[in-house]
Amino acid sequence: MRYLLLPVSVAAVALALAVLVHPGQGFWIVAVPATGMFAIAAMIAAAYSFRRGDFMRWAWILSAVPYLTASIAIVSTAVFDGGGPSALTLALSIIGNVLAVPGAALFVLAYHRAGFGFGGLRASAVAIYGGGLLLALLLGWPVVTTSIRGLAEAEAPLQPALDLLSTTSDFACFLLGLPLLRIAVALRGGRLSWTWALLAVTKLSLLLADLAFEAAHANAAAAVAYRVIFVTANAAGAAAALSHRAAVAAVYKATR
Amino acid sequence: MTTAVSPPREDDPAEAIAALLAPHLGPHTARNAVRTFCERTLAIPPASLAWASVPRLVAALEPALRTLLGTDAASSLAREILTGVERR
Repeated sequence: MRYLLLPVSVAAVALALAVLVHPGQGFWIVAVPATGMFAIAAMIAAAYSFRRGDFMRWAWILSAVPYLTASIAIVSTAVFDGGGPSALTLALSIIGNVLAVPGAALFVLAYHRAGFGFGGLRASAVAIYGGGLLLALLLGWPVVTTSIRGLAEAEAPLQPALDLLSTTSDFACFLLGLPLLRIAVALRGGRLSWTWALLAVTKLSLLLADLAFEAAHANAAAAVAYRVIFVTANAAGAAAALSHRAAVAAVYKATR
Repeated sequence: MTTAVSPPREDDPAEAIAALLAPHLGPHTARNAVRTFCERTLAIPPASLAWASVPRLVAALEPALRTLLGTDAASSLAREILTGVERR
């Protein structure tokens, strides 16, 4: 539980700074990059608790890339982009959204590659996949179709195309959050369960963030919810990385 | 996320190994891992596992542990299990 304290504290400070320093754009150019950079640092620290050839080192490095591209894209948008996304913002958004999916998939793949199986956790699997797919259908699919409609109706298609890429990537990550949650349930009671559970939180929360974003134009509470979800997802990503590092360190402690 | 675990039977190698894996993988996956690798590697149920066969089982488990815990932690854990066996 100790590894939760630091990310939660950073998220709280980032939110407070965003509100106090610059109430308008402050959130985007302070809180999101601050928590994003913290998540990157935690993921690099987690990656370096593994050897160069270890599967998990590459999973963490790949997972850190979308946080890096998002943080730089947000700052570059605020500083450079006046009448639309610049080439840098465009490139970073594409790279980040595309790499977010394999980054999450590697953690699902790792458990399957280990070959431990799930051993009769059928009821929880039905609940997770049934509930998750229902949520994806009821809440996620309308967000994706709204983005498709936005692209079809747009005169300048660049920004709507980026929005569609982002919502499609978030939708795919939400779907990958379901097996991550199932793995966390299988590992329950073990130190590694925190890593997979917190990763599931980051992926599942993306759909909620998109929903809140859609509602944010007309609803002030949704705008606040969007900000809170975004920073919480960053903090959960950092906590997942720190928990994995702690789980590896705990093996040495237990076997010393 | 902690789950109550019944103490392992000391005379049962499968349960002894699962107990060493449980703090990391959780009791459910620890037992499942031992069962899966007993069946896959030794073609026996975990209840039939003899102390003499534990090194073979651990050698099969180590690459799987490496995927989740990394090379160094997996070999530390494998060594810990084998040391426990040698004490018997």
